[in-house]
Amino acid sequence: MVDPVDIHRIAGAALLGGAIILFGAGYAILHALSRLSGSSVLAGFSLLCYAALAACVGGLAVLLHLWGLWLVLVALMLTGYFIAPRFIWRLSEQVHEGDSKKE
Amino acid sequence: MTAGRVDYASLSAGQQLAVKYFVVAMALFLAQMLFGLLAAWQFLDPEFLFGIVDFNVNRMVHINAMVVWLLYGFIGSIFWLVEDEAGVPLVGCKLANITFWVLTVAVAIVVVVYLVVQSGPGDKWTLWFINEGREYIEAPRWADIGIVLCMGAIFYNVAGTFVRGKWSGIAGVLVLDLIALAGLYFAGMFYTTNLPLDQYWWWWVIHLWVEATWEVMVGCIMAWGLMKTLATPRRIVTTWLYIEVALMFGSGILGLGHHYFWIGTPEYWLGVGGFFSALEPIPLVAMVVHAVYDAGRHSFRSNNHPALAWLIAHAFGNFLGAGVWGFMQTLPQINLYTHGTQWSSSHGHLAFFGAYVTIIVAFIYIAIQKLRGDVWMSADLRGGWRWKWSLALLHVGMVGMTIALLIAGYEQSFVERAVGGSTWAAYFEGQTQPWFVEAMWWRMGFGVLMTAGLVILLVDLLRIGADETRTSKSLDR
Repeated sequence: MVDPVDIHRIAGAALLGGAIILFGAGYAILHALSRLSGSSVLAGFSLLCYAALAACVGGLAVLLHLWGLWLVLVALMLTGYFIAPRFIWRLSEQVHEGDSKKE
Repeated sequence: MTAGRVDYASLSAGQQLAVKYFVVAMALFLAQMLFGLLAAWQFLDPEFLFGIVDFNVNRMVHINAMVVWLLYGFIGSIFWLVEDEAGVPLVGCKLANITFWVLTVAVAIVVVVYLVVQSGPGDKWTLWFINEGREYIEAPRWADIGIVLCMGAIFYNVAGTFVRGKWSGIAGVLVLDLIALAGLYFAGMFYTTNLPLDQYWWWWVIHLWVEATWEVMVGCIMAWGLMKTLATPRRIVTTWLYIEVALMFGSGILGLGHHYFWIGTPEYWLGVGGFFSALEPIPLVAMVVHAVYDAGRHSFRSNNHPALAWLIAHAFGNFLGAGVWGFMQTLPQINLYTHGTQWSSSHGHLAFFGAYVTIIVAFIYIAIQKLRGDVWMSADLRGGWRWKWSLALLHVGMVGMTIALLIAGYEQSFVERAVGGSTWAAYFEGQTQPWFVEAMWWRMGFGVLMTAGLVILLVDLLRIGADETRTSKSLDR
């Protein structure tokens, strides 16, 4: 079920794993900032971050041999990291809605 | 009440008890650091104190001290907030005080026994009175039972106070979490003759305590802390507490699977562990959005700068330690080489520091402000260099140590695991390579830096606000 990473690619795979989370955070921060300021430039950068994240996920899939059923994990990461920040933004707006009305 | 003076008598019974827990927690934090330094030095000079305080004993005390001081920090924080949250005095105050002393004396006895009886054959007697033998939860069986009884007593104090007073979202989550905290510990208290089965249950304590019950407890403490330091409305912190618990349980419980990869459990755990571990960082990334939203939409003011700085450190530390360092090595395809090396140790150090140490230190600063009569703890605080330097040294030390361990772990994964095939000879071969040895020296250096930071922190906790006469401004919104 598991085809381990080639030994000379251990460092590359680990760095890509870390990069996925960092680009995920970059995408999340820039997305939130773009929504706050209404800046399309920031929105563009956030999508660039996501593209980098997607590239890292692709790279990780190659290095870790994530084929067959493991492709579901790749799809899940790509969807999860894309949707979660947008979902939390909407949730934040709705949670704080009552406050804004009071103010 | 005079601002700047320690006024213990003005605290409520629960808060007085909390101070006791915090004092022991900080003493154990120092012990953790000192035993960590000893163990780190023994990596460089294996003969050092051999036969007097062996490496395995130093390491055990280092880790056990951490587990216990974090627990003390959590319990102290809960006792600090429970009366404020419930609106009534602590129920069973006498029992709570007895529990504190019983727990503290038991911890002291366990550590003394660890140090006095370091080796020898294991049997049922040693299991009950010396050392249970399970990594991380080595406390003998009598102490195990004592811990569960003490947790039961603390549950009675907390739940009873909420029952007599008023319930809130934080109260509900906290009480349910305390049941899980005591209940899960049972999973580490019985043996089976089947090693995979034994490890299977052991991980329930290790993983589920840390990535479920402790995280939820941190969520409750953080929620209350945000109301006090930033005047965040209760409705918002409660909603986010529920969301956090849902997200955490959604990925965290089955994320347990990443510990089941190589212990002899069925193969499907490779998939389950891999999938849920990949999802575990998503809540952390998503929460970044909420932080940016709040910072942008609301101009929050804080009346306790050290506490706020440690809360911010908590957000970053948790993200880097648990998220980035965790995901680097969590999928089975790479974990095959990295698990159990210094790489895991690197992740463990940063994750525990980022997720738990930071939040407890933040909470202690909140408590000290009240202990010193709501003293001024914002801009231009007299002696304010101490909290800034301790924060900086502890963080630089921790990040440096994490990177050093990562380098050592990479070298081990490569030489010992991938090339050497995890043989006994490869184990030693991996630890004599120059990269490993140099990384251990760097780890030692950064460990010393951290210890210096801790000493300054302890001095600051004793002194902060002592030279101030100003009181803090109200944060009512």
